[in-house]
Amino acid sequence: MDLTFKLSSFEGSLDLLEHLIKKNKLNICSVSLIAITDQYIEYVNGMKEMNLEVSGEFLVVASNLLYIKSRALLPKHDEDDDAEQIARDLTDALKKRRLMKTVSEIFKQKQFDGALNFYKLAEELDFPPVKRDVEQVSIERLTEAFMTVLEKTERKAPPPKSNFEGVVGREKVSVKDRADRLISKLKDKKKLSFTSAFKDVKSKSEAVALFLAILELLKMSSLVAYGEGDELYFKLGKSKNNTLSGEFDG
Amino acid sequence: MDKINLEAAIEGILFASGESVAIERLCEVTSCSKAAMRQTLEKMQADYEQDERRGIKLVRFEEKYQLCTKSEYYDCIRALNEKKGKVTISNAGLEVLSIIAYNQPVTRSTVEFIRGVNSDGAMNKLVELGLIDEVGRLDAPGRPILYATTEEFLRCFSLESLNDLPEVDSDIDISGKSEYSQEEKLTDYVE
Repeated sequence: MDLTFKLSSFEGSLDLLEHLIKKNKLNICSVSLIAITDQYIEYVNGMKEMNLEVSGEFLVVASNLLYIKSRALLPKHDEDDDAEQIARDLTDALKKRRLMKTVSEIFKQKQFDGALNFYKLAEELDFPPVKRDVEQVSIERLTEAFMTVLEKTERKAPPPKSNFEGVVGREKVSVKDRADRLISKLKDKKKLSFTSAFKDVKSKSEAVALFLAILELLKMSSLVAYGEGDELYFKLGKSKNNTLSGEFDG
Repeated sequence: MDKINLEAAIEGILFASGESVAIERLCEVTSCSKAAMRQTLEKMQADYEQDERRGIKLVRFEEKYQLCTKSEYYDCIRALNEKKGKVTISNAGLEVLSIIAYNQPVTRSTVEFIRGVNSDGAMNKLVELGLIDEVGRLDAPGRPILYATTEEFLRCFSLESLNDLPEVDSDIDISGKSEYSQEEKLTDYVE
């Protein structure tokens, strides 16, 4: 039966209220609610008679309407009259429902407004690896490191015979030689720690020669010293001239 | 930074970022005042829009800015990629979205009351699409979750802010349902 279908097509109690308001050619306000209360109740009863599922919501609204109507009819004696608030809530909801219907149509068209534009998502930016501190380390730090190495060198092995030659005559330890060796080591290994540079130093004189070589190469920018963590490192510098002139022979 | 470099910097920043950048952040990284930044951004928006040689434009979403492609070039860009096009929102979704858009923040039960029907499916779909999101809880029994629209919503509907939502008079009834004449018969029956 056509009527059954129509009754069950109300989408909730607000839909029914809206229908009644329109049918009675009224505006949305509390007076209108009072005017349609009886019709609303009749509809709900009709639904029950037709054995239709009447959700709790319909009954809650029915009782609210009755409450509002009864309060309107009786003289006001209670300051705490929440009937007005209830009425206001209902009329607000009805207005929101009308707004929703209108806006849905607008949104239906408008949903494609932004569809033709492409956006990039957040990107993981790839920054170049942080350059290690390649500032020239201070002379103090170099000296400090050298003194440490010197100590180690002295403790390494019993003083070789060559040390005693210092009493007689100084052994010639070529600074240039050490410089050359260091450079070739670096060409091979790319980077060298301070400690490993002094690894195969056998005597104090050798250590001194190497240290002098390092200082001179640093000055010439053939060598670059930098700190990484606690350790000092060397690498080849920009200068093409990697050999010391002869005058540095120790 | 003189005017020309500032615009270039903004362009570079927005390109690199991809996602939208807040105006405060732009000011921070360029050491520029908010007033000057806003002025520059507005000028850039107009410039991009008017310059036919530009295929991208600068857009605003509340206080955030982003670059995007111009609609005119949708077809050739689309051709790059076989990916599925944007999903159409269902009628239920549109109803839920309109309730939330104009009443945010709002609870699920309020949405359901106004619509008159169960809205779980539609709401979940909208959350999935990124158009609405949870923004807190209502200080009431049960502490129900509150929902609001997102930046993606603004992007989708090409709005710069919620203030740009169309002005609608809620007292006007637009539906011209003819079935009401048939309802007259029902009333007769019930009475």
